[in-house]
Amino acid sequence: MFDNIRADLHRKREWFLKEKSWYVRHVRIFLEPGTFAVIVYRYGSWVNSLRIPVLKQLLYFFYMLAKIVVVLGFGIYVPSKARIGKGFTIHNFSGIFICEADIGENCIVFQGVTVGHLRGQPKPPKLGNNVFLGAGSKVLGSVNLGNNVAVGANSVVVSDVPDNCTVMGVPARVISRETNWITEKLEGRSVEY
Amino acid sequence: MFRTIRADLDARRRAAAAAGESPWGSMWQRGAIAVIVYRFGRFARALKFPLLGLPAKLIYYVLFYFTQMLTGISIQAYAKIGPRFVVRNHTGIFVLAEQIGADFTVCEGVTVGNIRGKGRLPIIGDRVYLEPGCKVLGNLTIGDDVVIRANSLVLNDVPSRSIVIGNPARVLPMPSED
Repeated sequence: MFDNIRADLHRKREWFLKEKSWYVRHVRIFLEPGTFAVIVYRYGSWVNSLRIPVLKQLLYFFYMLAKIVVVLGFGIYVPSKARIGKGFTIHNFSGIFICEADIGENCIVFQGVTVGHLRGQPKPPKLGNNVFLGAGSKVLGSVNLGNNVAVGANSVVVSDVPDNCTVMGVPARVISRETNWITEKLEGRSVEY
Repeated sequence: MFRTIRADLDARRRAAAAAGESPWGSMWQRGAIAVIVYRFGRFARALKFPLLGLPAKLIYYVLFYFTQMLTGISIQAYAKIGPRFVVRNHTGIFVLAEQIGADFTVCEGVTVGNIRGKGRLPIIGDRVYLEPGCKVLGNLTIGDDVVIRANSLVLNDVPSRSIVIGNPARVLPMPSED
């Protein structure tokens, strides 16, 4: 649990905070609703993996309390049964719904994002590593997104997307096949957010 | 501060009356709270005297956090917004711009902000109406008298007197009123 949370916080500090002062890095980051939601999600998935019966129910009660704050207060719904890799970042809040999907490492989610089911397609979406979901984008149905995919703002993805693509529009079309800025940023070759 | 808040609330009442809602009932909607907190934030930022400014900023930050939580509206005090600013409905509203003119209206689900690799935030003119769910992103400039239709995505400059529609956006001239 703590390894995952540390990785998430590290990702958020690196990407979204321009000021590097002590106050911003250690106090303001916890005041952001997205950070709180990620921590609650990690706690919930840790509680789910526990094997000790009574302790598990007790800790699950605290998880439910925190989840009520996150869902009612901030409008972020991330179930504890979703399988999300390290470096999961929620930027901003409200209108975020993520179903029990398989999501790889370093996923970045903005406000108004839905990752969910579509009628007649029972399997949830499957997202690769380094996926960027812009503000208001929807990923629906049993689709597979590859690695290094950037989904533009307000776009609706209802079909599969190969690796290294940028998609945009309703329904989403591929507009670039050379998207690798997330990997470049991760390896420290590009300083541009 | 109080004069601007009064102008905002007057504009809000007029907009509600024009939409056929009860004008005084619109005062208790959550958009009004967010606008008042935003105006207070601008006031706290402008205070030069640190003994007053620091407590004001502290109060503003707590208020801002709880307004975010209660309403889902996040209008940061960095953005300079002209008088008669109306927020219609709530949840999912993020407004962060360099400068916004007078008579600005936003609906639910609207994002105004920056995009990867673009340094500057949007600059928006007077009498701009952003319909539900539209996104205005990047270092663009929007002129006066513009309507941006629902769920459109604007990434380029928009001239004055136009309607913007679609994802990605198409710019159409505003139909004349006579």
